[in-house]
Amino acid sequence: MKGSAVRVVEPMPEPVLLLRSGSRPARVAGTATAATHRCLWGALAAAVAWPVLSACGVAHPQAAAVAVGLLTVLPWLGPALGVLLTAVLAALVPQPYAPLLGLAAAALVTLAAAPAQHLPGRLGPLSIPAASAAAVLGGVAWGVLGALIALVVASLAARTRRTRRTRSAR
Amino acid sequence: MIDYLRGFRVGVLRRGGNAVERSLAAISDETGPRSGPAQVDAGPFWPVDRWVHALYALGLTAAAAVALAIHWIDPPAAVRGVLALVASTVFMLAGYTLVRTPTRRGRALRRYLTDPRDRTEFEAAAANADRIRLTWPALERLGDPADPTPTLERALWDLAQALAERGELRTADRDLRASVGDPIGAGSLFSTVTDRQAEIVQRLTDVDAEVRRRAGQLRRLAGLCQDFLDQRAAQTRARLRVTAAEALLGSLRSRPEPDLVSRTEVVLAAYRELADEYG
Repeated sequence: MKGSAVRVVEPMPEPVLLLRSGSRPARVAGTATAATHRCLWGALAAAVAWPVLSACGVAHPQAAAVAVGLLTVLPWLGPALGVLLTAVLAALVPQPYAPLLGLAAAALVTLAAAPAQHLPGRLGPLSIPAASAAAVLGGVAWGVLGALIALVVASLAARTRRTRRTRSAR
Repeated sequence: MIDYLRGFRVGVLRRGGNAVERSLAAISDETGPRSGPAQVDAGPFWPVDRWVHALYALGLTAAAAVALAIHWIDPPAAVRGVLALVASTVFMLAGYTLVRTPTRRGRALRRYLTDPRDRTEFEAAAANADRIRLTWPALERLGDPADPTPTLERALWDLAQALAERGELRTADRDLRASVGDPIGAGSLFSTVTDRQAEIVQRLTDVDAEVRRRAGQLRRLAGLCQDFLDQRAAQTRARLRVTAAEALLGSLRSRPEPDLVSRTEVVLAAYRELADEYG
């Protein structure tokens, strides 16, 4: 085995980095933590898009906000598509200033969701079933905002539980 | 028997399956219920990240569809609360079934390593192996490395076997201690029990030392890999700062050569030690 040619079986991804505030060193996070933060980012985008779309007069603003949030969860172009959907929906409203409304709505969603790329490490990892169940529970109770609150609370509880276990083990 | 062990090995080492299954396994590894203390470092685990976000989006899409449907039905508040509870319970149960079914790793690990402490130790070693695998491609331009995956898998599997043996020895030791406390008299049976217990304890000490040695090798190599990455990142930052300073001063001084070669040699030497052991 020694001296043989280099052979990488599978392409290695870059480690997922969670940037803390300021210039503190980045911390390597697990896949579930990164995905949970992404879900929270999407929920925050949806929670911002809901009142914005509602104020613009878009039909079914809650459903549209949910679509914006779900697009934001997707990697690569997801967040851009979410902002684009917000702009298109607001711009299609039959109003004289519809294009300006669309631009303003997209800018608001972008401004509100941009800081969510750097969520604090206190928000721990949630599995897909746990994240979905929290979103259903909060979403049915209080809509998009409820889903966001439920995800945040569940994520904090997950981190607290892990921290407590680690401390008790020490 | 070979197929049985191979299935266990695949399950324990979380190899095989498609990208979705490995993604589910990685999520489960970080978030799944553990009966022991969670001392495992947070990932990254096997290369699965590409699918994870899409899987989360899929789960959230289903959740959003259910929530919007309940809103569309618009039932009374009490019924809505009940529906929310039922829906979230169904999501939890169905989701965990779907997550556990593809890999069956958790079940294989629990059956093979019965002691929660052993599972925790194995998870820590697996996290170290993941770190080595993720770091290794950075060395390929600088040294003469081989693909570390087979060696790491062999090391992990051997560690799992040693841990399984340690778990069985602990159980036997516990049972024999219980028999010593029982009213079995002071005859030959008592002396046989104490003799066997002494043998078990001796064997347990040996296996314990072997487990520590094997886990320590992986931990040391992972630490060296991490040090290598840290040094490379620090040198990159330093080069950027030197470039910025040169631009500021307008000078054309030559840049210092990086000292990555020596660090690479240290990492490769540790890897060769591991490969000699398990290769």
